[in-house]
Parts: sequence; structure tokens; C-alpha cells
Amino acid sequence: MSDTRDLFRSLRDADGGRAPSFAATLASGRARAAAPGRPGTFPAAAAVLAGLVLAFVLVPRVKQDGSLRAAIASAREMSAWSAPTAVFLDPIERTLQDSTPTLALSSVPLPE
Amino acid sequence: MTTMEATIDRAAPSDLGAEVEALHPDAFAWAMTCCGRDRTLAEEVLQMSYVKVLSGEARFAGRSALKTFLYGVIRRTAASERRRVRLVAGRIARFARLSVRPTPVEEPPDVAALAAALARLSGRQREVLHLVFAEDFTVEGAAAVLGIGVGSARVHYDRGKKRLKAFLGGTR
Repeated sequence: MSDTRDLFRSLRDADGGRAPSFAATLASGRARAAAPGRPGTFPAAAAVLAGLVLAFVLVPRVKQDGSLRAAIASAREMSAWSAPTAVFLDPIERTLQDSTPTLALSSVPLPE
Repeated sequence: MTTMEATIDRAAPSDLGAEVEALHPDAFAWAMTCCGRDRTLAEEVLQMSYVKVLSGEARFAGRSALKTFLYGVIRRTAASERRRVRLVAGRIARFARLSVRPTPVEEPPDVAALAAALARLSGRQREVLHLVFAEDFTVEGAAAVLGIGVGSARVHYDRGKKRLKAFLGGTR
């Protein structure tokens, strides 16, 4: 197993020998952290998001635009329609209220 | 005197930066392992990890050795970056109908077989074996770096060792 260990150490040393300098690594890291975001990531993401929102908002509207007038006319027609039996649905209270006699004094014959 | 030694000499003994710098070559080798030997990604991961550690975003509380802590930060950063790269590269590849693969690293001849055999192991097995064989961590220490249970680390270690032996035996 020490053979394997030696191989691993050789690989580690080979990688370590090819490492960029610590100062350069740290400087790049700090520059990356100081940047407002990953270059190009945010604008691209924002553009894609805006495109999607526009697509979701505009595409259905464009599709429906041609039939909008027809839809309004249909809605008006439906709201004006009344069933033939709708008359039976009149609340009985309204009928009673309509037929209730007025109780003005002039309409009541008072005894002399 | 090398640049690294000069920097350490200038720094105070308690300077975290100097201690991290002393670990730099080995940390880069660890980043290479965590990044599937993708050199560009390993460099980026190391840059981000150093900034996290030295800016205090990842706070070293001294509960473990600095090496364990730093390697843990590198591993987590690598995992998150690899996920991000996979997502972005996958989308671009699907769009352009390309296959995206990292640029292969030119390995020294004496370790090329090991690097090729390691590439056939799972990420966890690679990481455990690297920590134990190349960095002299115990399996318990490797588990702490990887943020997994000792039992789980032991399973990865045993299986990885067996598979590696088989792969290296096949190439010899």
C-alpha cells in the first residue's frame, strides 16, 4: 500500500508544483469578489427573464385580441338574457310590499 | 528564499493568510481532486475559497485544524461550482448540440495511470483516497473534511481502495 501512497504523493506534488502563485490566486479571488457579479451572468439572466415575462404577458393578449369584440358582445348578450320562468323567481315579499295599502288618514273613513 | 517563504517571514505568526499560503500547493492539489482534475475550475474554486476564508465569510473557529477547515471550504465551494458549471454548460451544450468536457490535464507519466484510475472512481471515493493517501488524514479526519459520517467515509474508502487496486492492476 506504500506504493499507492507514493503514487498519490507524486500526483499531489505534481499538482502542487503546477499551482498558480498564492498571491495571484488571492488577487484574482478578491477581484472576482469585488466585481458586482459574475461578468455577463446577471445581464443575461435579466434579459432572459424579461423576455419570458414579455412572452407570457403579450402572447396571450395578441392571441385574444382578434376575438375581444366578439367576447364583449357575447358577454353583453348573456347578461341581457333572461329565462322565461324568471318571473316565478320574483320574491314574494316584493309582491306583498307592492300590494300593501297606504295608511294615510284621508283614506280611512273615520266615525263622525 | 522563495516568494512564499518570504511572505511567511513578513507575516505575523498568527496571520491566517500566511498559514493559508503555506498550505497553498497542497490545497491546489486538493482542489484539482474536488474539481475532477479540471485545472481552470480548480483555480477558480481556490480563488473563491481563499476569499471566503480570509474575508471571514467562512469563519475559522479553531475547532479543527486549519487544513481540515480550509479543505472543507474548498470541497463545498467546488461542489457548488461544479453544480453551477454543469447546469450552465448543460444548457449551452443542449442549445448548441455540443458535448462540454473540461480540457484534459497533461499528467506526468509516473502518475498518469493513477490519475486515469482515479477518474473512474466516484467523486467521494476519489476525495477520501486523496485525503488518506496523499494528505495522511485518518478516515475520521477525511470524514470531517467531507462533512460525512465516519461509517460512510469508511465505506467510500474501502470500496475506492478495492476499485483503485483493480484498475491499477489492470493497467500494469
